Amino acid sequence: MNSSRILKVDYLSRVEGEGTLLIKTKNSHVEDIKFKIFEPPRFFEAFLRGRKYSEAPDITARICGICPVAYQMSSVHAMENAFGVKVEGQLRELRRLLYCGEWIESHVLHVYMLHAPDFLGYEDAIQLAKDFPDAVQRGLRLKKTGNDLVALLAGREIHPINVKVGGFYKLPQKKDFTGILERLKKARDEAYETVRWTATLPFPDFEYDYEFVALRHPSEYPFNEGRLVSNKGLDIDIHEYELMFHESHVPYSNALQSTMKGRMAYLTGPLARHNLNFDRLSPLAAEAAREVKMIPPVLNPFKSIIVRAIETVFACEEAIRIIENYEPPENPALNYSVRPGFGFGCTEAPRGILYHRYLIGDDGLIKDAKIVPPTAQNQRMIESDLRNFVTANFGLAKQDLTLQCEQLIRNYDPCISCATHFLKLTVEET
Amino acid sequence: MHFMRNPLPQAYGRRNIRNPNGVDPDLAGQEKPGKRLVTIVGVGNEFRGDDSVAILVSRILRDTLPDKVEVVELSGDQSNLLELMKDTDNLIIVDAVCSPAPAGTIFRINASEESFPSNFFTASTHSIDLARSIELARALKQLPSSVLVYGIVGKDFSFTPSLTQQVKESAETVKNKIMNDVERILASSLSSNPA
Repeated sequence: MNSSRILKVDYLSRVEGEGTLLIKTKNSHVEDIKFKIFEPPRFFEAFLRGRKYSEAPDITARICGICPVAYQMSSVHAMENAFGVKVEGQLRELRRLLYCGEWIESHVLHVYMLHAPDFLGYEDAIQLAKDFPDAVQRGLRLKKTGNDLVALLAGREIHPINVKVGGFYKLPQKKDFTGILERLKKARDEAYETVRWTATLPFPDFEYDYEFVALRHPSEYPFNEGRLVSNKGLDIDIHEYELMFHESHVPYSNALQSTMKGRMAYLTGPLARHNLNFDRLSPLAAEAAREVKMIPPVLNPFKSIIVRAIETVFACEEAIRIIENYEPPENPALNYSVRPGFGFGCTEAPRGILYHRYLIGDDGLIKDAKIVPPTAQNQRMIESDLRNFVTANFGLAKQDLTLQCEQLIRNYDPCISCATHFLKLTVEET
Repeated sequence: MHFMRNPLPQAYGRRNIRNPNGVDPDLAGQEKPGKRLVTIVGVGNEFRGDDSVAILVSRILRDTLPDKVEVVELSGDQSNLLELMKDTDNLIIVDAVCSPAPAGTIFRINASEESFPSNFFTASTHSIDLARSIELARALKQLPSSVLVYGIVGKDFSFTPSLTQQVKESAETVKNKIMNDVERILASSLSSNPA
């Protein structure tokens, strides 16, 4: 029998930004998949040129409302790399603390508001809240704790404004952490509950032998530092990123797609971090992972929702550790001299690795900038997952298959606005 | 805005807001004050043209209304509205609206009695918008007994601190309507709880 189908989602919901999905199938064969990103390009790399090096953290933070800390961190690290500055001690710890806040607010929003409704068959979090009020309340409390931690350290929960090259503009005092510390301890327990709750969700039976790419640090679960490694042999310094990774433009997408040279698509994000850095998790986060049998290798991308919950436990634990050991440094920032040259930065945004590279001129102005966000890197892998998932699930009714394809895309918590610095869904059968 | 260099600012001119010293009771580990009778929330961005209309309205009201009425400006994550809703009996929200209707058109929605139409939800999901916050509170049975939303249709949302004339005129109208709303709420409270 000659059968063909078109699965089409004209406007993909519960993702950030504007995109669509079109899948054409014929005789149980996927003919075409287009993960189209039609959000207009935003030209950040272009308008960074000619701006002062010191403006990059605040300008790039404007790329995204949910992971501005990641943009600030990758850009300040790149500038510090260019100037030979090494931020260490309590200043470095404060930067990790700021990243903890961002991971909590971003992961919790995705787990409870964007992804959980898929698993439980609800249209959105509002419908979910009617039947699971305790869970949604827990999510809201957790998110507020993450928001407040970012606001405390950086002035406000969205588009923080306190990070500068060399350190911070203004430092918190010990007493500033009194209230948030107790709330983080409660949040840690609620994050653990979130791990248990997400582990009870029904997961589609789907696995793939991914190449996972993440940062790896000698002793820490990675936020802001480490070598770029994969489970298939990649092990490079971040300044070698462009030697190994290639960006290309496809006609149907306004976001550049990344591939690893000579290899296939790769996956970056929570699942990659978990599989490559499990031994670096904090004690309670590792305990939570073991309790719900999330021991690497975890190859089912739908289980990334559990990993986000585990990483939320980690972020709470790490934040508590940093606050309990905090002693305000003498100066909010290190002194440094501006010097011309290249600077490289790569940190772990909630959605995966975020690479920045700048060329700074003699005058301290940015001559060239390159920014590669995680969603752009994951595009190829999303298309690959969709091809494999649809092929394995031809028997599903069209509506169910379409919904599960959307759910699959949300495994990546894609941030289209970041990627264009980039979803609608269409599945066609002809 | 992102070029501000004082990252931990005091709450300038916020006489009636809950944390007049810029210290959030949650963060300071302090006990929160009791439930408010009336809270007014202006949602917007003061640097984006007509999007600043609600900020303007809330600042005028702050200087006009009695201290027991809390006035809050909200320009960040609107999920903070959920917290405000838990802590007040009567909530009045002002926001700018994108609509084909003429600039300055005023919408008044009694959100405690009717659900928000789906086209009020914005596309972004990286934060929880105003309509979703209200519907989420309704689903969680946390909606204050009265929630009024004033929407003022804007025309120019570009990077400018100035408002279009029609929107400025509507700001004055909405301010007067809210003062009447507050007067009615206070009078009703007095009659049910005489001193």
